[in-house]
Amino acid sequence: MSTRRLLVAHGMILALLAGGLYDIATGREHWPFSPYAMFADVNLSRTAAKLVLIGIDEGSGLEVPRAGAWAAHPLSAGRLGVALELQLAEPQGAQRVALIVTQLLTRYEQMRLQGRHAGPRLASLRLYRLEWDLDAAVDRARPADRRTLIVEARLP
Amino acid sequence: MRRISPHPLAARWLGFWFAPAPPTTLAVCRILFFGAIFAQYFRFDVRGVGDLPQALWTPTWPFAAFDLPLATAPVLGWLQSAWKVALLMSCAGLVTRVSTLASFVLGFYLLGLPHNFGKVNHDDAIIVLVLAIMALARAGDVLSLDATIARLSSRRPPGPVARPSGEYTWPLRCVWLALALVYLAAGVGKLTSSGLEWIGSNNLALLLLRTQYEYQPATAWGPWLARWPGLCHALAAATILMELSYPLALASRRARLLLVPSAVAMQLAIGLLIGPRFYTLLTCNLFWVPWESVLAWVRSPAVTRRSGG
Repeated sequence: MSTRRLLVAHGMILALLAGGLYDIATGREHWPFSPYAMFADVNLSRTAAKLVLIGIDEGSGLEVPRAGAWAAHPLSAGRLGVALELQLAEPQGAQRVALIVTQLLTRYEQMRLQGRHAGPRLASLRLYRLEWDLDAAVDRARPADRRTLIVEARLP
Repeated sequence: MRRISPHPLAARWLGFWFAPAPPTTLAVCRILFFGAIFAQYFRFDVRGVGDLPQALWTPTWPFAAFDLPLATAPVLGWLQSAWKVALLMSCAGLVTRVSTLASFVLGFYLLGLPHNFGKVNHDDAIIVLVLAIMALARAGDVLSLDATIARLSSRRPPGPVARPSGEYTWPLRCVWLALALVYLAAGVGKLTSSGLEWIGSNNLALLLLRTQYEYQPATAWGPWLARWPGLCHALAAATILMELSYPLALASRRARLLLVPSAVAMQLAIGLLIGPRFYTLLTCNLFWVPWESVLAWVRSPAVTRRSGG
């Protein structure tokens, strides 16, 4: 191997080591390096919880459960829920989340008019926290034990 | 003249990273890796990120540091088509140096985009690192259209054209290192965040229950497993032990034979019981397989038959 190629290879090796070990040492995220802290915290709560977006059909007043997935595409609804949870934990996160949900509703309507999804026109988009008690028999088809409205955005 | 021998540590370092190896293993890894990534990302479409809420935009460090712009939907459409073509060309070994570089540059941008919207996922980070490694590797010297074209144009007889070299070793070792850092980080993260409580508490049993609602894993087996607290403690201990000891696989063949299949089994179990499916991480394990030996083993019965007949 030539000296130049040895330097290239060592550059790659050192970059991997430096990036990987730095994120391990600091616990901070520098994508594509990561401390891979998923599920690292102990959570002894006997409650499962997640944030979901649900639309309200303007015509019928019925709930449109897929509205969140359409509004967030190409992000998954689950990923958006975690992103909103992280935002809520920040200072002034509630205002920021309210703004995000409003912008998502506007986007949903624009996408509907462009034929990018098959959903109905919405009167509003609601962000709920769904909670399930883990003491009861686990059945993932079971509706949430509690549903708390976090924010509701309406079309102007 | 007296020949200067390197320091034993330097010799071990050079021996690990640059021991001469035939080009076949790296070439097979190239074919399988780029083929698998093409298949996994065939339906990947990020054109819609352009009109996601501005309030969600929280750029990751490379997007912030290099001020990378958010391309418009039509441009993103072209870029992702170009990326998929580059992946296919890399798999086939066509203009390999350019196509692997394009696979990395475009992949870095396109795979990185969704992480700027409030949540960094970990499923594709290792892919970007492996794309970077392959962009610098000489992975198209054999088993490639480049090699075939070169042979036909120079009218060379078919046969091995690339001699064993360290060029075919260090990229494989770099992928091993990247994988080792992933598992080490996960193990260290659990210990620094939670200590031995991660093993001794009911954390894993509750996680198996909670994720049924939060992540909707492939099966409903988690709650069944959660009924045995002792088994959950043992699995938690085995997880941390495996993650922390995974780097030993770099240096020890015995450790490799135990740790690599254990990590694959753990990833599969996470997908089935908890939810997140790290297919990309599983794909990278093909770099552990000594394909040169596998191919020799596959070919050997035929050779034996011919020589015997």
